[in-house]
Amino acid sequence: MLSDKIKYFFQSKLMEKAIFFSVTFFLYKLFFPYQETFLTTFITEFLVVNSLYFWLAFLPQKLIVKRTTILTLFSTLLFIGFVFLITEAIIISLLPEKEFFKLGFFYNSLVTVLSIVLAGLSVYIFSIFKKLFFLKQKYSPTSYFKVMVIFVSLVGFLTSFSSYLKQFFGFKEYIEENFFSVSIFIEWLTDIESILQIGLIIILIFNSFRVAWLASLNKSEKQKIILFSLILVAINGNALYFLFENSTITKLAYLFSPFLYISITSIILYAGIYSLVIFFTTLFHLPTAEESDRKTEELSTLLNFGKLMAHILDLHELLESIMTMSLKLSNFNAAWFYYPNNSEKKILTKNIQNSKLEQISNKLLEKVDVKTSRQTILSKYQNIYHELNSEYASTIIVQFEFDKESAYLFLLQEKYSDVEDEVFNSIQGLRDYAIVALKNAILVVNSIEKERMEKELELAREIQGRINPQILPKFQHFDVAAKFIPAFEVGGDYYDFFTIGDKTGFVIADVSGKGMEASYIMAEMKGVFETLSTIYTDLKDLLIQANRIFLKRLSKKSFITAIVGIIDDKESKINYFRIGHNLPLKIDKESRYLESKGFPFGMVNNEIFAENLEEVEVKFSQETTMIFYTDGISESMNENDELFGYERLQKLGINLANENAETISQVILTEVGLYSKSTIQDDDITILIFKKSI
Amino acid sequence: MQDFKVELTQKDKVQLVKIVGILDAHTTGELEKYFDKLVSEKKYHILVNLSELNYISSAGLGVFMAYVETMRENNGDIKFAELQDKVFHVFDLLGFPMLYEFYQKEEEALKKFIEG
Amino acid sequence: MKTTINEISIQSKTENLKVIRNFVQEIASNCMFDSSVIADIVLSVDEACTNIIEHAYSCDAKGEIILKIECADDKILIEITDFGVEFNPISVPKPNIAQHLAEKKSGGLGVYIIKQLMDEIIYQRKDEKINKLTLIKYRAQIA
Repeated sequence: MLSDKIKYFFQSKLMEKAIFFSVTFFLYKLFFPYQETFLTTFITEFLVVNSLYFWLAFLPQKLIVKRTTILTLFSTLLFIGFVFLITEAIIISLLPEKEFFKLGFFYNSLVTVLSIVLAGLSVYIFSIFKKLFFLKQKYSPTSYFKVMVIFVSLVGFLTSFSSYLKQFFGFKEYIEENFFSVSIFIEWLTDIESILQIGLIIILIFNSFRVAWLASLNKSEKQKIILFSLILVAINGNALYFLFENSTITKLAYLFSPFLYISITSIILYAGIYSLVIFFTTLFHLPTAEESDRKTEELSTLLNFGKLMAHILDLHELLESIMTMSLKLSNFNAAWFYYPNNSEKKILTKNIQNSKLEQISNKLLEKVDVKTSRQTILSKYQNIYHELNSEYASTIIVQFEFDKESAYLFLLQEKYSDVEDEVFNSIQGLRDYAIVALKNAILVVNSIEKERMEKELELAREIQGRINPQILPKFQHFDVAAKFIPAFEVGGDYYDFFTIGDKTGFVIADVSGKGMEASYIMAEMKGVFETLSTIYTDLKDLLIQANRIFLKRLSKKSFITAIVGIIDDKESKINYFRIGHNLPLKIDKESRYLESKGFPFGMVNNEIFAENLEEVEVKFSQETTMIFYTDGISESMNENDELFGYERLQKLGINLANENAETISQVILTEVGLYSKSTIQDDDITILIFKKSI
Repeated sequence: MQDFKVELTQKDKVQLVKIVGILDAHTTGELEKYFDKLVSEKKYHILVNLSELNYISSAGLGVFMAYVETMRENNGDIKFAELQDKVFHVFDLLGFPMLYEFYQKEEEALKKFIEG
Repeated sequence: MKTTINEISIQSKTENLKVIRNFVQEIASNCMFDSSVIADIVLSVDEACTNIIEHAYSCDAKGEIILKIECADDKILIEITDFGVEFNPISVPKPNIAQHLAEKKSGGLGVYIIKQLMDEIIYQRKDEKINKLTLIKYRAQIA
């Protein structure tokens, strides 16, 4: 039963044990305030050692709390040191000058409590220093720390023993007279005591140089530590002064518990020395603090940059930030990005303006192998940098490789460069972040580009839809059919009817170019014809004027082919001009293409255009059918890349000669569709058919 | 063939050091030994005659840089005399004329040492 | 003007500086450079190799230095390759000679000389094991 209890006791928690011993010590002290016999001394010291041990084992664990920083540890130290001093002062004020043996029960218990408080505080202080001692040490210096604790214990025990002996045998003179051997023993003991004390002080000092954690502080933290350690030196110095110099407290302590006294003194001494060492070390380390500040800043900017870049999706904005960042990291003067695959902007610059940067980039890239190496180029050769107006220039080139594309970052310094390896490393780090972001940005650019094209197409189709007539005009003697099938990508086909004089005009046209550009031209064309038809009554004049306008408005590469005609409903005839367009197909008894001269709009100057205009008049009989179309029909392709061609259309025309306009148009479109069913229609198809109505 | 040779002559308080041949990173060590010896003998007035020095690299110049302050602290100096143009060019590159005294003739330098 | 190419491999010993200088002198003379310019080139290569011996190889004589000289119409190009630790001469700051004197030290002089004498210096660290230093001197140009 008892052994179980003992077992349980030793398994129980450290704090409980620590409290248990402290309380027992307190109670014990109430009844046996001073050591009078060997037994009381022994019990006192046993209790003291145990409570100190358990507190010391327990407290450092509790010190590891979240958000514990070195500065909070120091503020705790300051606070506790201050309380320690005050407690000390209270004890001293409580003690009578001489007759401390005759303290009453109340005073006795008060002093005991305060002494325990003092012990607790010093243990707390010691725990913090223990934490600092082990902080950021590469090799855990456990043995040094243990040696220190052992020394403290040894000195404590020895002092305890000798003070007991002294007390037991009374005054020195008395011992010397009566117990010679004991006297020699005590003297010998005192010698060992002082040797051990010296050893203790040496190891205290030695262990005070564990200040590795200082290096990790930044400047302002170090400044605070300097102040804190100075105050700590003052507090501990004063505490020590009280402990050493006040004979009353010394004597009391020896009577109370020499071991406790030695422990407290050692701890305060250690705290004092350690604080002093901190003060001086920090003072000398202060200048290097800026370096550590800079690196920390660098690192955090790099991390922030990583976060930041993840959010930049615009490619150019991203390249801009990479340049800004690199300049910040490297302390260089200027930067530019050379991005050969970017058609929009090959060169992006920062703090540098030069039109020849592309050539310079290529020249520099020829010299080095950017792929496998990091490099620095120092050049004062006129040909490379003379445009930059600097005699000396050193360059770092960093390659950013992503998705088979490469961009090159050039960092430029216009004087002697001090490119530290760290600069390379941080720029390397920057690059790793940047490449990921660049890949993202390019993905976004591509998808935006796609979206933009889709939007454009949609718009172009809409425009085309609005331009081409929804309703065909009615004629007395003509049967008219018009069909328009847009390609996925707007192809630029256009047909329309307009009023000229008292007659109706028509136009079928194919605008060069595709998509948005084509639809703009079509819109323009519609405008031109609508306007000109109100001014001119003669079609030829109208066409010459239109060409004049298109020459100005169309870009050099663009032109329009068209057939523009006038329908004479009364006379059942159509007069038309071929403006460089596909030959129309005329079907009556036979099927043939009608040839005539004519240049497209916007291709040749007005004189040549006018000279080559040839009016064709087609008089319609009952059998006559005129088919106007765009190259979407003749150039439709099958899966073998063969064209639908003119012959096929011609034959089809003969076979359909007896059908009405609507049927003819539908059959032709069906045939073309069947022919090219396995290929994508990549051009608009337009067909306009006139037939003499029955 | 001897690439490098040092001839020491004493003239009053002035130690004449004549360096012959080539002074590069390889032969610098030997010159340092001579200068160590001079310092240990407390000879601080050094006149370096370079009339027969055909080549010098920065390693050689480093020796003069490393010892001149010791000489000057002891009221002595290192002065140079009779440099070939190509050798002076190297001294000049590193801005030595601002920090050392150079003389066309050994006698001039000696006079300067004795007077000053 | 014919372009000549020449290459030698030397052990990293200061004794060999003489060999290096003779080699550079020989090729540069064939390149028809002015004698004063040749002296500058020889000195620069000497300084660069001295740095390699002392810094990249820490005076270990087992290291190899490969010297390759290319002579072109407009320039002479000296490529010095070694396999020692990374040493970027361009990153060596300009020495403060007066301060060096006071502190009785001497460092960074060689690099400073190279920077003054050469038109172009390119340092490349390749595959984390090769140092390649390229020194370029252009022919004097007619303005």
